[in-house]
Amino acid sequence: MTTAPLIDQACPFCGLACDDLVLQGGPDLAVRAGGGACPRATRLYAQVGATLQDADARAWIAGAPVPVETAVQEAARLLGRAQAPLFGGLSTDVHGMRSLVALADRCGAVLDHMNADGKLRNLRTVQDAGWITTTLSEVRNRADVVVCFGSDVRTRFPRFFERCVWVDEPMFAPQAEEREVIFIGAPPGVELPRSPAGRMPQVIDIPAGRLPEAAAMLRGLIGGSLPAGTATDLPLEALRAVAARLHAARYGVVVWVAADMDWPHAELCVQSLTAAIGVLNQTTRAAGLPLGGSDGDFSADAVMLWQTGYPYRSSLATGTARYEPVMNATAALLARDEIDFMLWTGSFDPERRPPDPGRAALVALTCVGTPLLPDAAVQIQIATPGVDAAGYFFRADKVVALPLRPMIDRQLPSVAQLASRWLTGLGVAAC
Amino acid sequence: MLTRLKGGKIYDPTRGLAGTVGDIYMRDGWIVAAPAAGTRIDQDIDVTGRVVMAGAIDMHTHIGGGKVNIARNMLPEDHRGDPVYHTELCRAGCGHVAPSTLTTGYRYAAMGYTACFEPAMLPTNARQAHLEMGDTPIVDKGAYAMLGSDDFLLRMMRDGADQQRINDYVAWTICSTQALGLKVVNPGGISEFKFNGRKLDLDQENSHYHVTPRQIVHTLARSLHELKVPHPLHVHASNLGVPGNFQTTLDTMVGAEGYPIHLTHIQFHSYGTEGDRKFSSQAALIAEAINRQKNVSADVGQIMFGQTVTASGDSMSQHRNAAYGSPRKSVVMDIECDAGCGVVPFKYKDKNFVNALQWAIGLEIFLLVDDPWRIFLTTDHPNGAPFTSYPHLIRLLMDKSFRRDALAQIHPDAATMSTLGSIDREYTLNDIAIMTRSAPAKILGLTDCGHLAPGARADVVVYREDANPEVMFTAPEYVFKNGTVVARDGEIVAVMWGDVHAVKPQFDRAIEKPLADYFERHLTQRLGNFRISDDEVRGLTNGGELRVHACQRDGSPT
Repeated sequence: MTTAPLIDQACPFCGLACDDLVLQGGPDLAVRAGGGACPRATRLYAQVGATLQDADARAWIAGAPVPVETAVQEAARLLGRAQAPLFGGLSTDVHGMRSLVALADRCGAVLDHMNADGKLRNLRTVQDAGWITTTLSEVRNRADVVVCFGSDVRTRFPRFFERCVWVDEPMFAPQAEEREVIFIGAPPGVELPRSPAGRMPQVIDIPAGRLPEAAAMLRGLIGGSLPAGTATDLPLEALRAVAARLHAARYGVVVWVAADMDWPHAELCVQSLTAAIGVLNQTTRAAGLPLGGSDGDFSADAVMLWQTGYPYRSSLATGTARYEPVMNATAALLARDEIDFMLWTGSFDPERRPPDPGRAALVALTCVGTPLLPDAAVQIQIATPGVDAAGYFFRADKVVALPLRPMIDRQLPSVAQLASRWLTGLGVAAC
Repeated sequence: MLTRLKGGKIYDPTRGLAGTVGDIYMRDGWIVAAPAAGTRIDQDIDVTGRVVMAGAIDMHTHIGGGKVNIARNMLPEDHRGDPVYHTELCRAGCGHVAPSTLTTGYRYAAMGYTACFEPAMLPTNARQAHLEMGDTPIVDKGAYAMLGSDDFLLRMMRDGADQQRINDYVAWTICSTQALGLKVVNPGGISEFKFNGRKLDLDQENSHYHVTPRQIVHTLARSLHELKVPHPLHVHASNLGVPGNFQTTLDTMVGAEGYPIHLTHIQFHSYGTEGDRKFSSQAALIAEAINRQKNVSADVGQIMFGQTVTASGDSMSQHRNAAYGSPRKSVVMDIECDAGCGVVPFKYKDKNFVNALQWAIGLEIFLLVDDPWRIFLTTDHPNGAPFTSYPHLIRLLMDKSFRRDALAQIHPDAATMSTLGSIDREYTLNDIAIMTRSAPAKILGLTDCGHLAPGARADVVVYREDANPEVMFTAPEYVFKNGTVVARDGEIVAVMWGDVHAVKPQFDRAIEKPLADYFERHLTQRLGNFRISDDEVRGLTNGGELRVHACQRDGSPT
């Protein structure tokens, strides 16, 4: 691979998939100074793209280093005898997911992504009522009011404001300093982004646990009637002003991060926001921006949808696809002791590790930087798309799929290579 | 290997064969001429009494891209009713209205279709469209890139860019997205919706760019003509579904000023405002205009009764239509200063006056347009109905008494307002072969499919003739793709991967300089990551080829 810096590379380490990075290849992979990346990307490129020496182990069986080929065959043996396999994690790119779904079809596996809990909060809203949404370039050029609900956004999507809000020359919207940014219920203690000139955003504090009520109030205020029994201790007048501001906006955008809405039935909160957006669109324009896509979750989801017809948390155990998002959750399957095998894929973040597999045999495909997993029957280090494998990555708005290019070569197998081998070459067909 | 299909009744309108008894020879995936006497025939299949046609071509079917995936995401309830089990050969899938890509490929092939064209590929979403088409087995694929509400074109037009410069941009877009043609959807209207416009008539200026839909259609139709892209501009006209929109449609035809244009799902654009309910058929006027203007072609977008889902780039219309959704849910998106989309499930009901009349209007257009070379058999899958309803539609066209029985079932007021009952025309097998083979190949510039002459791909379908055309067209006896039997009697017997069809109009590469600057200053991806190279698209075909068709057009505008 090249040692010259390459420009315009897409970053796979969060859903924004910023594609303006300058990367310096081999032997280590790093973001070149001034190459556009955020601290998260800089850290993960260094960690996931770290050099491996020839002597370094790349695969383990029960914690002991083995040649990769030995581990691949042991994984095939375990998969071959599995009665109830689960393919979890699913943090991979389009190519990896295509191969995993093909393998799951043959093996009768359940497919579930590590970010499915968050995604389901949005999905339930889409399947129940739908929504009106927008994409990154529309926000960048069109939004005059940006309301961030229940999240600081920047923790999970570090360059969102830099790339979509505080920009030079928006085509149809006010300049950066005139754009209004309003945080409703941002987590306490997190520094919120200031405009380039140092202007603070407007902040409406909502006590912990009260965000669903605030969303319902906002919806009521935008629709012109507050729900009965509306709490009086929430900042009604501030929310009323937000409602008025969104009504007056030419293109208001409401941003939320479903991953941050970690409470039961958070879909009802999402639905309050989307319903409010629906009302706004009767007279002006407004749209939601449900940010996600990190850990390849939109890439995996897109492939699931086109190859099986269903989102993840579907099972192929009966020979056809069945979508049961509650039953097929990894945690639920493990709690009910219903799986005997788990193939876990984690390509992008060493901190995201598989749950305790219980009785199930765990085959873990992990990115470089992941420590040895004590519960894994087999662990294989895999190439990461955008580091040492080619691939495609669906961005936070689910529209743009960016190419990921291999920058270095550490002789690691890709998920697609492994899954294809298990599918075609190692007797898995019989399972 | 040399294969002979012996003694079939050949319908090959490209060569003027309409039931002529003869033999078809295939070797190594291609149709070949009859070999010299004494040549060994490796595989000899007696098809005496059978009807033999080229593989069918669906020139307008939403099979890939973001909006189809949105439809899949929204409608698990529909998919649950239509599970597809895996077999030794085929992958599992599901889906009645928006099937998985694998199921889509198998079902098309089993029905005798060997090529399908995605008509609304958003440039910014082109990679997804190709990824999905790449995972659609057996059939060949291709797509029309969508322009006409994108900021770059509209600002060029606003600024008075000359036609040559616009041609460069159009050609660059087609090449960069690996497209076969170009579509415009609600010209300028998707953009207008983002500026809070809810309607954009043909001569109404977009409020930001001050250009009109008429100017956009004319500019793009001219551009394709000058670039010699075979397929005329594919036009989803303004005012989709609006009562009274027939006048817009007629004016759009005139607005092309003789440049070839193809009006898509014209059924949805043929509505009048007569009668108590202010909704009526203007199919006769529309058909008459098509008959008269030889530069105009159309596909119908027939609706069928039952559950389906509408998936369109026309966010403005779909936001309006969301109120009629069943089940009542919808997704509407503004997309990347480039386009938009809207997905709304629909359940068309025969006892609903409007739906019943929509059904009749589609059939009226089919039967009143004289020239089967300029009217195409589509349901605008899945917008009018899933593509699996084609055999039923073919029966409606071929069987007058069946059609009249169906007419007797619909809302009586709609039946009364329609002239359908008085139309005696019945399509012949040759007409069907024109509409579904020869004509689509011709209008798309595909010289090596849609016919059975030597030099064509060996995409061949053998039907058992049946008094009921629905039976005949549902499960052909043999379907050959590239010379291999892929389906028998409606069952998939071999899986292969079709090709991608594209054109490469020439352009001045200098256009990339302002485009790269534009991407960098205003968009959120870089130009180099937007472009899809030949090698890249080849890598998505599972082994199929990239088939590039010549850019050539005859003559000047009519």
